[in-house]
Amino acid sequence: MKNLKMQNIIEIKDAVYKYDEDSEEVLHSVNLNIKKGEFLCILGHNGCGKSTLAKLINGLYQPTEGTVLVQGMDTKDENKIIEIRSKAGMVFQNPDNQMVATIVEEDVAFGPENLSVPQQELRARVDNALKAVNMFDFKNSAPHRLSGGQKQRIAIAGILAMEPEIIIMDESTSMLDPKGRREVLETVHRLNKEKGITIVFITHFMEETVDADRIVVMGDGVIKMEGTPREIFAREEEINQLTLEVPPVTKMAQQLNERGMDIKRNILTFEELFNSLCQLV
Amino acid sequence: MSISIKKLNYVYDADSPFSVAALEGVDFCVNDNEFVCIIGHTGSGKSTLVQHLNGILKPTNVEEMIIEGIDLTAKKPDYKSLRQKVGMVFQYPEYQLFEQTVRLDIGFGPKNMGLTQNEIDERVIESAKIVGLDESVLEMSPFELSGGQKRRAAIAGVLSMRPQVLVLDEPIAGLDPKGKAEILQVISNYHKKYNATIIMISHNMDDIVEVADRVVVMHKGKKALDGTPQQVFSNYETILSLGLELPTVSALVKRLNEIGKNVPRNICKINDLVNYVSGVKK
Amino acid sequence: MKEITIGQYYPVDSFVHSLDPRTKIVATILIIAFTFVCKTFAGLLISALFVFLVAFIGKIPFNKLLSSLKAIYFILIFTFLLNMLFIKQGNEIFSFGIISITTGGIIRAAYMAFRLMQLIVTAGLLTLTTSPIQLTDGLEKLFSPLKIIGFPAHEIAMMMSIALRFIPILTEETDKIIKAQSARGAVFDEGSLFKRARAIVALIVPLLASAFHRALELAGAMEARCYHGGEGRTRLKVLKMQKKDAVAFIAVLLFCGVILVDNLLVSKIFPFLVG
Repeated sequence: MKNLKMQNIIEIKDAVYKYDEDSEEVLHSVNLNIKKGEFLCILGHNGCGKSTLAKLINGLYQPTEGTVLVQGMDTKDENKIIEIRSKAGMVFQNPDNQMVATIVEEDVAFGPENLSVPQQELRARVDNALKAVNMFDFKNSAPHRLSGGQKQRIAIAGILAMEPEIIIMDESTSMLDPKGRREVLETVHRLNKEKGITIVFITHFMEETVDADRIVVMGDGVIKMEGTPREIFAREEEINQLTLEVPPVTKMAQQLNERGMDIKRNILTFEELFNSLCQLV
Repeated sequence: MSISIKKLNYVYDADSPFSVAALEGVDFCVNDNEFVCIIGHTGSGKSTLVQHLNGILKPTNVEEMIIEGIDLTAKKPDYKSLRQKVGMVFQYPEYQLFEQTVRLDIGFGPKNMGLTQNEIDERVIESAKIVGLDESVLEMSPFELSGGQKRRAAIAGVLSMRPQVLVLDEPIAGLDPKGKAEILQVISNYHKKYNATIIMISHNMDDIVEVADRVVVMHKGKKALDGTPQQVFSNYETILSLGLELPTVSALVKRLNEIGKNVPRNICKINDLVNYVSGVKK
Repeated sequence: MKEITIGQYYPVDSFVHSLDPRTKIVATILIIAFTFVCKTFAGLLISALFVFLVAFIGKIPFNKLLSSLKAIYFILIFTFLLNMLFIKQGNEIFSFGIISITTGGIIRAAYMAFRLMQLIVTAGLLTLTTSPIQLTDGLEKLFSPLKIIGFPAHEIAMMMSIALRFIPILTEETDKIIKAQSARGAVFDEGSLFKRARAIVALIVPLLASAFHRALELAGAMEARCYHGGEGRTRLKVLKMQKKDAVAFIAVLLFCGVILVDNLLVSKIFPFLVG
């Protein structure tokens, strides 16, 4: 377990959100603090409000009621909004719909260009960001020639070039194949460990949350569960009620357990499952 | 025999300097009522292969190609009836929705087939039922539906043609677990109810071992492996060398063998693993 | 997969690629203008050779350069026929009823077709050697003096570059939707006009829906990456005129001079050759 500082980097207080006056609330009074350096996963099925919550954090949406503070800055403060967005960068779901430029390195430069970073520094930032996601060799490629996983890593580089404190991954793996998902997940875990960037990872694949510091499960616009992966995965019934699915490994352990085999139900990783099987075979 | 293809070659942009061989000498035969899964990387030729099955792509050359009794090497193959017999669900099929109502959209295929209004109505209702769409949804605009509903409406739009062969290109991509389970159930129901032949491209090995009668592995335009899930997934070396994943059970069995336990390599389903382990215990 | 020439940058390192986009835009305009000014066959040949030479220096494969012509072959033939049939000059070589073809007509038709080809190839060369972003940067800079009178140079440049970015995506998508609707029995290339119109609806509606959806998402993504208009934006690649731009300019000006001299000489010495 990492030694997380006590300092909150994001504070969400009684946040309520609705798209307009007459529509229904998408979020009802959400309270959530995120610590600096934390790897937080937000889980939930489609339409549970998890993406709305993400958009509140980087100020794309402002809460209808309540407050959202990013490094102490209120997202309702129009003078701070650019700074908030540069500190809390966001990677979206569809890799194609977030690339602006036709050349990889120019796309990575888009964010810092908007922040008026001087030219000499821009070059260094773009190169470093591309190296951090292992995509430096592709800096002159056209985006539509890349795989989904590569495009998402470019999108991450585009955020890194803004030198963020927080990266919000808004279902950024849901359109990728298993290889792409692995690449992206490894990349954000590495950035979290090596650079201490706070990660808010939103997904509906539970297997991607196994290595998180903390999981928040959303449903019907509220936080339904909160805890470490092991705590959450042990609460099978609640998870099923929220129409989520435990990771394949956990599911397999549970099925084996139901068939009368001596295997724990709250297994998280392949290694654990393997070790308990070794005892039996 | 539902599909019999021998030595299929396909070259993209054959006449241009950018020509790329997408399929090279692929044999692909499928029995009636078989459930075949095709796996392989992006660019392995799997999508190109399945697009030949309803004549959307035409082979650059092929030795034999008979699909549902239609000979596609004939001078003028009957593409119209081929497309009625082979239904094709593309990746993210919700992009094909366009009519004012879900009812009209699901009825688009049957209408093009020249069915009477009564027959169309009947098929629309039945298809909606198979995919689990409530009848109240039928009068809505397809653009008002949720993501999972759109996917189901689009699939219903193919099922309404009542194809004998249903081809699906990554039908569960981008869905949440609930949506995913629903779609797999829809496919399995159609398979059983209409004795349909199913050909599905997928990445999810754990799903594949549970549903497939046969697995075909494509690599660089060629067929790398072809057989029952047990046969294909016991070939760990080939699967891994192609950069593909093993089903969780196969991966477990592989590791167990590596530490000297003697577990049959062809175990790839949960059931088989349970049976084996309980056998050992006794 | 289809190859689209317009907006399809051919990324190699070359002298031409490394030129300032403003140089290339102005040079392209000059070359095209002088191809239309040029009155002689020799001059046209020189201009074609000049463009091929530039393409050679720019390491652009021959077929890539000419592939853009495919898109306009119909217009080419049409222009040729129109000119041939309606221009009456020189000796008549064929006549049938009201149709008569003259030597002058053929020469003029050939000139016109040649100029059109030259126009397309030269413009194509610009897009092959200049990345769309550079191109829009260049246009933005060239037009930026007009900002004073409220001309939205930055906004137009941004829109152009995004349009270019999405051309391959939307082309692929069109292809996919055509396939999906064909699989449901839609017929795009035969049947009555009404039937075809219906088939087109089945293509256009999903395509528009998807384009709007993409546009919305992209706008959100741009906003999330701190986009707030052109004000105060710095650039990774700042346009800077260099010595080689001067060299290129001199070459283009020489070319223009040659065409002018050629026009004067030939029209004096061989007046019958002038089209």
